[in-house]
Amino acid sequence: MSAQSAPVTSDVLGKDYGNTFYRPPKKEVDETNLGEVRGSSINIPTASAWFQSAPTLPDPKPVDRVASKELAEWSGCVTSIQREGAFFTATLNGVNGIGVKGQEEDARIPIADVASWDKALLREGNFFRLCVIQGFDASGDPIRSTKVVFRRMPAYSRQALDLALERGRELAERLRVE
Amino acid sequence: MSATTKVSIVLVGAFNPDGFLPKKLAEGGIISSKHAESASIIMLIPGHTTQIGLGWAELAVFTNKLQISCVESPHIRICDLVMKSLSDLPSRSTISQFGINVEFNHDFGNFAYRNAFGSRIAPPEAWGAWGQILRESMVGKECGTSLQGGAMGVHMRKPFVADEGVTGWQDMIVTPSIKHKTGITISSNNHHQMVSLDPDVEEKRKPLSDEEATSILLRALSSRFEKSIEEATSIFEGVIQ
Repeated sequence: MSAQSAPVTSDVLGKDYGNTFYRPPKKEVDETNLGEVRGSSINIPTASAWFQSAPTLPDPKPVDRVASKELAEWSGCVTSIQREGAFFTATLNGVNGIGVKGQEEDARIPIADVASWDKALLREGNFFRLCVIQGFDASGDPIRSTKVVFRRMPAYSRQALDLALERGRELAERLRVE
Repeated sequence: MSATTKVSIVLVGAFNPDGFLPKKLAEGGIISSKHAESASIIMLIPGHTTQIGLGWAELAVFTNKLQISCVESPHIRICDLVMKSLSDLPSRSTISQFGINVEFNHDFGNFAYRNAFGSRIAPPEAWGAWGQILRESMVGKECGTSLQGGAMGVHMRKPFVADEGVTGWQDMIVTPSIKHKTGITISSNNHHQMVSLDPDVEEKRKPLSDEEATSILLRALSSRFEKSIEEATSIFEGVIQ
C-alpha cells in the first residue's frame, strides 16, 4: 500500500461506491457552505451526507473513541425474575466470542447489571444482549466487565400474529396422541 | 472482532427527518427517555436533516437517506432502532435499498508488513515496467515517505440473488488507513435492493409498491444483519492473515 493515505482515501471513497455505502465525514458545515451541503445531499444520491457539526453547535461525542474489546456476546431471554428482586434468570445463546458462539447456557444475572432506563423492559420473555468486554483502567491494567442491554424490538403486526396463529393451528392439527 | 470496528446501516428511500427527533424516538419506545434527554443534536434543519448523537450510536436522517452507525457492542441495537422506528413510528418511511456496512481498521505496525500486504493483494509486477518503479519505492529510501508508491485501493465485489426478489452485492474495499500511518481500512458494504442484477429480467418483473418493497427489505435487514457482520469479519480475517 502507498504511504500517502488520508487525502486519496477520502477522495476514493467519495466516487464510485454504492448508494448504501457508509461514508465518513468529508465536509465541515458553516455559514459559507451550508447551501452547497444541503444541495449535495438532496441532488446526489451517492454523496456523503455525514456532516460534521457547525462551529456554533456543541461537539458530538466521537464515535471512534472505544478502547475496549468485546470478548463475548450472548443473546438472552428472561425466564424468571426473583421476587426479592436481586437476580433474574435467563437462557443464553452465544452470538460472538471464542468458545461462546453457538453455546447455550442458563444464567442468573444480577438485576443491578440492568441500567435504570432498561428496568421497565425486564419482563419474562423479553430479549436482551449480554456483552463481556475487556477494557483498561487509567494505569493500563485490564478490566473485564459485562453489559446488559435490553432490546427494543418492533411490536408484532396484526399480520404476523395472524400468520403465527394459522401456523399454530396447522401444527396442532398434525399432533397425534397415542 | 477488532476494537476499532464500526458497524453502520444505510437506508435509501423516503424519510421524514422531523420524525426522528430524540423526543419522538423516546415517545415511540425506540430509545429510552434517558438517552433522549442526553442526546446531542449535531445538526437539525427542520424538514431536511436530523443528525443526533445517542452516546452509543450516531443517527442521521435526510429526506432520501438514513444512516446509523455505532462502534459499541451490541451492534444489534442499531438494527433494532431502524426496524422499530420504521415499523412503529407514525411517520411512514419507505425504503428501496439498504446496506449493512462494517469498517475494520488494522494497524500492521510498520511499513514493511503493510507493503507486503499491499503487494499480495495488488502485485506491482502486474503493472509491467511501472510496477518495477512502484516496487523499488516500497523497499528503497522512499519507503514510508510521501514518495512511496503502491496500491491506493482494492475493490472486490460478489453479487448475489436472495429470496423474495432481493438482489445485491458484497463489496470489500481496501484503502490506506486514515487513523494509522502503517495501517489499512477494510470497508465491507453488503448492499441489498429490489432491482434485478440483469436489466433484461428487470423489464419483465412485476413492479412492487413502495410498501411491499419496504416490507421485503426490512425482513431482509432483520434476518441478514448479524450474518452480514459475521461474513464481513470472516472475509476480513481471511485477507489479513
